[in-house]
This record gives sequence, structure tokens and C-alpha cells, in this order.
Amino acid sequence: MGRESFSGHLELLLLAALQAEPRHGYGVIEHLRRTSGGRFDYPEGTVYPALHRLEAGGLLRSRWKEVEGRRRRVYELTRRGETALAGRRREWEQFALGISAVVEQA
Amino acid sequence: MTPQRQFLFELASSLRGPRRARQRLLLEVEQHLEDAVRAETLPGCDPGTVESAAVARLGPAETIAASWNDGQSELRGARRRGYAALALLVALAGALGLAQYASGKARPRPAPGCQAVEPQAGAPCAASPARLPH
Repeated sequence: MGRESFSGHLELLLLAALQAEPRHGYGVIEHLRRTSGGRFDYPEGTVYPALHRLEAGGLLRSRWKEVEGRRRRVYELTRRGETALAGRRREWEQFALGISAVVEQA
Repeated sequence: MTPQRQFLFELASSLRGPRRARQRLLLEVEQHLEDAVRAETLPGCDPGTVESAAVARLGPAETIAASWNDGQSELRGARRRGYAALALLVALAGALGLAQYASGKARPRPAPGCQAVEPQAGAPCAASPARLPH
């Protein structure tokens, strides 16, 4: 996926990456790389401002936590984040269905 | 200066916003690079090469800074709108209270079980000496 397409969906991907469990920034990026099979081409550093933005919007909360003997900023979804993720997931599914219907018919 | 130090220096000099928030971002990026070097340095591999690759994957410092600075501008805008709405609310409440007071409606309420008695125009006043029996 190209950089522009990716950045348009970054917040949805971050919320989804944090749904299963709380993770620190590098953990989120590793999760995205692993689950996507390395299909995303994007500047990894842009994940951090996006995490801060989601936290400021009340969709994530974070705290310092000891992870493997080192202090890490760990993020997790808030109740509001879970609701937002469900809404954005529905929007994405509708969008993908629409695109598929048009592209496959052509 | 190592690629990591150089990158963090460039990023730090381009970030705007509250100092505490900027420091947290820089610390997270620094820890990200440490994690990447630890996880990706295989035996016989040069850690310097791994570090350079991890820095390159982060993207240009100015791209991260631009994304961060946009977010900070949005936050400042949202805060300003919040303060303006609060100020308007306080001003409206003050004006309403003043209007109520000025129109004489701002009277103390009677205590529970008591009934407020409205004085009637022309009604004799019990305390009036003219009406007192002689």
C-alpha cells in the first residue's frame, strides 16, 4: 500500500492494532508489519504523533510501564476508542465492499 | 555523532508545542530505535548498520515533525474554541443573573412549608398607625 493510502487509514490501523492488547510504539509498528506481511510502505516515525493525537482525542490512554526490564510508554484503547474503532471498521467495510463491487465489475 | 543522535537532534529542533509533550515524543522515538537495534541485530551483524536502517525506516525527521506540529495546531485550536465557548457561557449566565436581579425576580425562595405572600396594591397595612384601633 502506498504512503498516501496508508496515512489515510493510519488511525484505524492503530486502533485495530491496540484492540487485542496494550502495546508500546515499537510493538504497534511490529504488529502492523507482521500482520500486513510487510505490505505497508510508510515512515514508521509518523506512528508516534498519531498515537499522541488519538490520546489527546480520548481514544487511547497511555502510561509508563516496565516491559522486559525497560520503561516503555504503553498505549491502550479507551471505551471511546473501542466505539470509534467499531464505527470506523464499519465505514471501512462499506468502502471496501463498494470499491470491490466497482472494480470487479469493470 | 551516531545516526540515532543526529536524527533525534534534528527532530528535537523541528518540534513545536509544550516542552513536556515534546520530551515524551523524543523519548519514545529514542526507545523505538533502541528496541529496533536490539531486535534486529543478528549475530555477526554490525549494530551501526542496523541502527542506520532503523533510522531510515522512521522517515525524515521533518516528516515526523510536520505530523506532530499539525496535531499540536489542531489541539491549540480545539483548546481555544473550548475556552471561547466557556467564556461565552459564563458571560451569558452572568447577563441572565443580572437581568433577573434587575427585574426584581431575584428574591429569596420561601422555606419549605411556608407560603410566599404577595402584597396587594391598596391593601391595608397591618402596621399602619391610621388603621390601628384607638
